Amino acid sequence: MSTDLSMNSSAADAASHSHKFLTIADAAAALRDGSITSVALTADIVEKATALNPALGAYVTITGDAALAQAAAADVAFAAGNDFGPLQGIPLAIKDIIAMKGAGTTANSRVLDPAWGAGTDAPVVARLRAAGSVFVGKSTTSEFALGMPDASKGFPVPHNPWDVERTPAGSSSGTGIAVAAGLALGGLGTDTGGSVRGPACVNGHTGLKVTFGRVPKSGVVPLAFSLDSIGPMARSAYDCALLLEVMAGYDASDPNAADVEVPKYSELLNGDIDGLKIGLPIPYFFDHDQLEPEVRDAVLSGVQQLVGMGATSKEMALPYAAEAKDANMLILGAEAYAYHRNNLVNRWEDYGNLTRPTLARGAFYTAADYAQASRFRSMWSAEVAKAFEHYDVLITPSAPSPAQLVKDMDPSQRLVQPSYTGHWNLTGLPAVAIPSGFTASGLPLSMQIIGKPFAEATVLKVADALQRVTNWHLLHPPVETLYATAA
Amino acid sequence: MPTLDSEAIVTGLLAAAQLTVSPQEKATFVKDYPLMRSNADALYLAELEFVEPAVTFDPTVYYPA
Repeated sequence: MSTDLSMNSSAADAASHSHKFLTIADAAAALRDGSITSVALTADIVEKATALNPALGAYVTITGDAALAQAAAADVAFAAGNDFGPLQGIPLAIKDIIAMKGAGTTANSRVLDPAWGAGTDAPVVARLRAAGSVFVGKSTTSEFALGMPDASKGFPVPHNPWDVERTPAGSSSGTGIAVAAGLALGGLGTDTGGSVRGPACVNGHTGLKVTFGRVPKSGVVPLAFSLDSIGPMARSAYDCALLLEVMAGYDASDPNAADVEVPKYSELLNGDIDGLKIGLPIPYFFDHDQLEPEVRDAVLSGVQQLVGMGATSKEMALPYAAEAKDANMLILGAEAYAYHRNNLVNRWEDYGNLTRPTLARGAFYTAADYAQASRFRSMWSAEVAKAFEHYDVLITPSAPSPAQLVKDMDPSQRLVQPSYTGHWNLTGLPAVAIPSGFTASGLPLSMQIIGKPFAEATVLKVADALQRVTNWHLLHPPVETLYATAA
Repeated sequence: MPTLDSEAIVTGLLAAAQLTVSPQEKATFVKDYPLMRSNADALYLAELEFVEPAVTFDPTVYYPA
């Protein structure tokens, strides 16, 4: 893919490039032309992940020996002429709320029964395994995909590789860090209110929240049954397409899995967005007083680049956007509370100190509140569908600000801060977060592209078109300096 | 609207939920409760009077063919 390496800050100019930060597509090519083996690639990544884990907290468990065995099997298959597709021999991170053979699942919590999912692969993991992928390990998650890190509970505390004093966001923190820092070439996250897109946003890479039902979510510790999804996280949109075409598809073990044909996503990313109609929902998403100007300007700059490639954009409005954020939080809170209620009663202290109050808020809603939020969900989905009669995609910022300082974070903030991601869990629509630049201080910025149901190909195509003329997604944090920290 | 007695409401809700929390945690709940309540109340829109909820129940799924 061509890039003109356009950049907008001196901090980004200073970011270095390295062949160690391969995309999946690049690595797949290298594995096939013989310039690298999966064993060499995996050994390098396992070594780096092990060395940097004290500083970054990307992994709960690094399954180095098993990863090298998978890599060796991939190399043997290549040598025998057996090619199972672009993910063969590719090192990936699996979020630690997803079941994977050979490694326990903790959900980063003392509460989860260690026997949960033991010895099994979630369907999505089984598909990746069958495609010849290599699993570096189980990546850090916010506790039960909801809380904030509590160092006293004995699990790794994740750090943003661009600035370790800042949050890597959650809940798919570890996969986000791993992709950004070159500790995996891609991986799995889950997204209930933004947990794939948030880490992709602040760690400077690509993350796709899929249509509800697109990827079977059985084998995942639930957060909110009607909102959860599993999505790919990787450096580029093209890499996410490669992952999704393996991950997606019906599985009877998930009652919400959709029996909808899976396109060959990567073959649809041709850079042609001529005639694409972009809607920019201005109220709330672009004019909120808590939206930082650098975030907004970077998104609008990206939209202008898309317009330069033949798209059209128009400012529009989505009514009830503020209420939609609150409805997502309410439904998420109520469903999560139902799952955790008994453990909250009996094992309050075993939960992290910032997880348990967030979960307990679900007890403060009434059954009528939940039913009403579900009625609102119908109306909001209809409003968004009306908008999509006129547009192919909607574009918004991924978040109102770049990565926050950890010391400034407070769970109560979630009640008052705007959020731009949960809206699309409420509607079940696909939405991809991609890098859109850097702040003057060198922190990643991100934009979000939302599409119609099962239009993952469209949102990835738009993201890929932009990534053909920018290189934000290829820049990586200065992890070399963290080796000293780790030592 | 009447002013909420957040302290009393949160005390009652925590008791009903059988949750034993620290004084600091309770203080945060008391502080946050009015905003949580107003956010939930804001969803009781007049426009929703005839809207069905986005949850469905299908009795047939329990009777596989």
